[in-house]
Order: sequence, then structure tokens, then C-alpha cells
Amino acid sequence: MRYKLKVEITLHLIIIIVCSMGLLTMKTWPYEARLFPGAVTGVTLISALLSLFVYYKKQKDNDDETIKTQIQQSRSDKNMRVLISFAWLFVYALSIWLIGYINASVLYAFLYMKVKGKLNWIVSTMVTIGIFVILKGLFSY
Amino acid sequence: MFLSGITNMITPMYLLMFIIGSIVGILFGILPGLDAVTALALLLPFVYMFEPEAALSLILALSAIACTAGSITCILVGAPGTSSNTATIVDGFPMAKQGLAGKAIGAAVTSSIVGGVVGAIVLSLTIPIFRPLVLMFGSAEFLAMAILGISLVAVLSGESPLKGIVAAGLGIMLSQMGTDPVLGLHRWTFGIPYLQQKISIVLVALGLFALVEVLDLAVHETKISKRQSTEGKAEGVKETFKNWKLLLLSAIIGSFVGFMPGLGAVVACWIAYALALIVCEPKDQFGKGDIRGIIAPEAANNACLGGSLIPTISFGIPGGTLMALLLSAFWTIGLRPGPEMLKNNLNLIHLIIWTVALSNIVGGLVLLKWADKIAKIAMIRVEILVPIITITICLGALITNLNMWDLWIVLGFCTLGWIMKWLDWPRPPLLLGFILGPLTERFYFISTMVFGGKWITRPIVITILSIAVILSIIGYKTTRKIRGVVE
Repeated sequence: MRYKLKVEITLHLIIIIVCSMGLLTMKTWPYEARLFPGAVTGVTLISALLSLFVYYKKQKDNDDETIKTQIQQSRSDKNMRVLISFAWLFVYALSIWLIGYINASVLYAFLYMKVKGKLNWIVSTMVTIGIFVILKGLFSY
Repeated sequence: MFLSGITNMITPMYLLMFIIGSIVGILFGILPGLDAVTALALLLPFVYMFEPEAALSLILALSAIACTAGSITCILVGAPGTSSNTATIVDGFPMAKQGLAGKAIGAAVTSSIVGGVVGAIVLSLTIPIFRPLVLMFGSAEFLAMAILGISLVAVLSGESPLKGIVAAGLGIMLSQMGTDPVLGLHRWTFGIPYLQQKISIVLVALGLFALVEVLDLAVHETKISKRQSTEGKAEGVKETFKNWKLLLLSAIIGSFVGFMPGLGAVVACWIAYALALIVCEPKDQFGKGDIRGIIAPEAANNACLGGSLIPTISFGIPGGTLMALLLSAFWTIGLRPGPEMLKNNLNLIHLIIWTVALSNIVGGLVLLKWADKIAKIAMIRVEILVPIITITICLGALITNLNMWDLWIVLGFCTLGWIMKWLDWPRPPLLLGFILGPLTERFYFISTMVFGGKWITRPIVITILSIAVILSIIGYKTTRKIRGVVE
């Protein structure tokens, strides 16, 4: 719960800083260019500050009323799965950059099904071949 | 003129796209965790390849059918196929456990067909009413409508209205990055040439919605349980028509809720369920397998599409994520919903109405006939689905410009979307703000140049803004109660 609270506050602070920086950079823009963005950024900044205040107050009230028998759930498994899923995604994107889209996609599909999905060789190979044929056909056309 | 919509439908390309849209809609509706929003985000990079009529049939068919297909997963598996089917689980899954899955599916699909057709009828009846109104509107009035749409979606989408407003503001700010439309100034580009062109809505939709949902599937490793027999659908159909009053009332409510920005099919299905609880007697079987608990939400969620198309087509203001993506698709294929479309493209509007009606009927009949076989799709392993959909998303990101920056932008929005989902920040206001930002800026600029600060004192503008405030307050209180009931 505390970790989520920290991330929530951090997100609020990032948004507040981004809006503030946005307003500062607008000072050099002509009037017509900053008319609308200025109004929107101002409203967003005020809303973010209010939201942070309301959230902080709500958390403070919840802390005062914490039920002692509240069950603490372990989130480490889920967090690990999230990190692994993101890692797969970013490595796939990086491999597109390094070895090209078709090669990276075929490799990613096969490795994902075999390593993460623990599917058997036949299914992994058949699906990978199918993906390769479709992609090759698409790009040839 | 109304029948000219039909002649546009009898072309091979239209029919082919209709079939593809129906198949994609069924696929994405059946699979838990994926829905019409994900499907539409995925198809967005590709719709520009087709003629407007064919592209319309693709996107509307999938939007209409995904909702209907989702009810099958609710009944057979106990997991919502799409978020707008959540109320169907309450009575649908217990019915399946009692061996009445077929009856439940018959009722769900029939209600969906009737609901969808009622939604299309409501759409066709309201367009002639709104048309003269819309043609009277000037830039100040459209600005007020944009504020109405964004504020309602921001306030009603999530639990915290302030977070919704911040998300909408961020979306608008992101849409301002790039070259200023009036002076050609570079705004917030930080000297990066890529950012001088505006970020494409396709990339935002792919990252914020499609990729986040796929990651969610991968993280939760959704397991599907054993399927059930689907005999007895005809009985479900008969029961649906026996409860015709509830059916029609739920469909009308669904259309009305769809018309309101920010509410959507999720709220429509629960309002209809609550209505069924209030008006129906006896009530003791609700929650344990009462067929009326399926009829009401399924009629409402399909009628919602017709209702939500009203502001999208009439004013060019989408009322939620699906409509925002539909609007982007319209723009991609060269259509401009709003006064321009009402004035010059009435035949396309009739085509939209007919497509919505037909896709509900045809899709529903297909599902009725082959529910058993189609339900097997829900058994596909997540480990096969995730890489296939991820590869398609990356293809969609790269296909337009073949620029790696596009892929990094998608990943950036995916990370942002994931954090927002984890922290219960609503994502639809961000998308809506991003889509409507440039339009709103144009209306704001013209209004201030022409009227100065007095644009806000125009009578229609005051009326619209007052409606925005009143509906925000009422809608917020109502959705809080509904969320309380759901939890």
C-alpha cells in the first residue's frame, strides 16, 4: 500500500512539474500561440494540485481508521510478472531496431511461446511458421 | 435518400469488410480481456487503405458484434468478454452452472439483436432533429460542446473527477506538441525534429489501450475453464420475447445512456440491470439465474452504440473511448463528422445506420447458430495470443512511417497507460483530450478572435455549459451509487 502511495504522489508531482515547466516555456511564445495551451495547462496544474491535496487528505483519514485485522497481500509475484512482461516487450522493440521487424517478430513469437508460455515444440513452431508466412506475404505484397 | 444507404451496401468490398469486421468483432468480443476498443485501436493504422464505405462497414460491424460475442464468454466461462457485459455474469453464469447455458445464450443474443436495432432506430430518428440545430451552431457553440464532452468524460470515467480532469488536460497538452496551426511556431518540441509533426492518434490508441490490455492478459495469465453445452437456445429466444416490455425499456435506456458522454455501455448495462431489479416480479431469482437479468443488460449495451453515435456524428464530439477511436477512424478515411457530414454526406450517415442495424442482426444470428464452436476461441492459450497481438500492434505502429520513433512513442504511452491503470487513473479522458485538443483550440481561437471574452455570454453557450455542470454533478453522484452497488 505504501509503495502505491509513493508512486501516486510521484505521478502527481511529475504532472505538477511538467505543467509548471510548460507554463514557464510559454512565456517566450507569442500571444496567439500560448492562448489555448496556457488556459489548458493552468487548469491542469490547478486540478493536479487539488487532486494531490484530496488524495493526501484521504490517505491521512484512512491511516487514522486502519483496521488492525487488515490482511496484507503479497504483491511480489504480480510485480515480477509485470516487470517480466515489460522486459519482453522492450527487448522485442530493441530487437526490431537491431535485426529488423520480420526477424525480430519471428524470434519473439517463438521464444515467448517456448520460454514463457512453456508450450511444446510443435505448437510453438507451427504458430511461428504461420506468423512468418503472413508477415512475409504482407511485406512482399 | 434513406434507402440509398442500402445501395451502398451491395458492393463486394463493403460485404467483404463487413465479414472481416464481424469475424474480428467476434474474436475480440469472445476473448476475455480484449474488446472492441482494442480491436479498433489495432485496425486504426490500416483503415486508410480502404474506401470510406468499406472502412465504415469494417469498424461498425466489429464495434456492434464484439459486445454481443462477449456475452457468450460471460455465460460459459464466468469472465466478461468485454467490459460492457459484466452485468450478464451475475445471472448468466449461474444459469450455465444449472445446465441452462443454451437458454441464457439464446436470451443474450436475441436481446442484443433487438437492442442494437433499437439503437439504430433511435439514431435514425434523432439525426433529422439534430441536423438543423447543428447547422445553427457557430465556433463558440462547438467550443462549448467540446467542453461538455471532455468534462463529462473526465468527471464520469473514473472514481475521481479531479484525476479525470488532469488526464484530459494532459491529453490536450500532448496534442499541442508540435507545430502551432496559426503561426507555425514549434511548441514543446525540445529541438527534436520528430516532435515537430504532431504525434499520431493511432500511436496513442495503440499504446494507451491496445498494448496495455495485452500486457494485462500476459500478467494475469487468464485461465479459461471447461466449456459447457449450449443446447436450448430457442427457449431463450422465446423467453426474451415474452419479456418484451423489459427488452424495449432496456434498449431505450441503453440508447439514452449512450448519448450521454462519459457513461458508455458499462454503465448502461448496470442501469438496465438495476431497472430490471426494480420493475420485475418476482425478484428472488435475480443473481441466481434469472433470465431477465440477462435480457436487460444485453439489450442496453447493444443499444448504447446507436445512442453514442448521435453526438459523434452530429457534433463530431465523441462520448467515450470507442467513439473517440471511431472518430479517429472517420478522420483517417476522410470523413468529418459534425456539420460538414450532416450537410454533405447524408448518404453515409444512412449507411452507418443500416450497418449498425445489420451487423447486430447478422452477427447475432451467426452467434446463435454457432455459439458452441465460437466459444472454443475463448480456450486459446494466452501464451499464443499475446505474441500475435503484440506483433500486430508493433506492425500497426511502424507501418505508416517505418520510423522507430513511432514504436518508442507507443511503448511510452503503454508505460503511462499501465501506470494509470494501476493507480486507477481514467485513460479515456486522456485519449479524448488528445483527439479533441486541436479542434477545441481552433474553436477557442476563432471564438476569442471574433467575440473576445464575450463568447461565453452567448445564450446557447451558457445553456450548454450549464448542462455540462448539472450533468457532471448528477452523473457523478449516480455513477458513484452504481459503482457502490457493483462492488
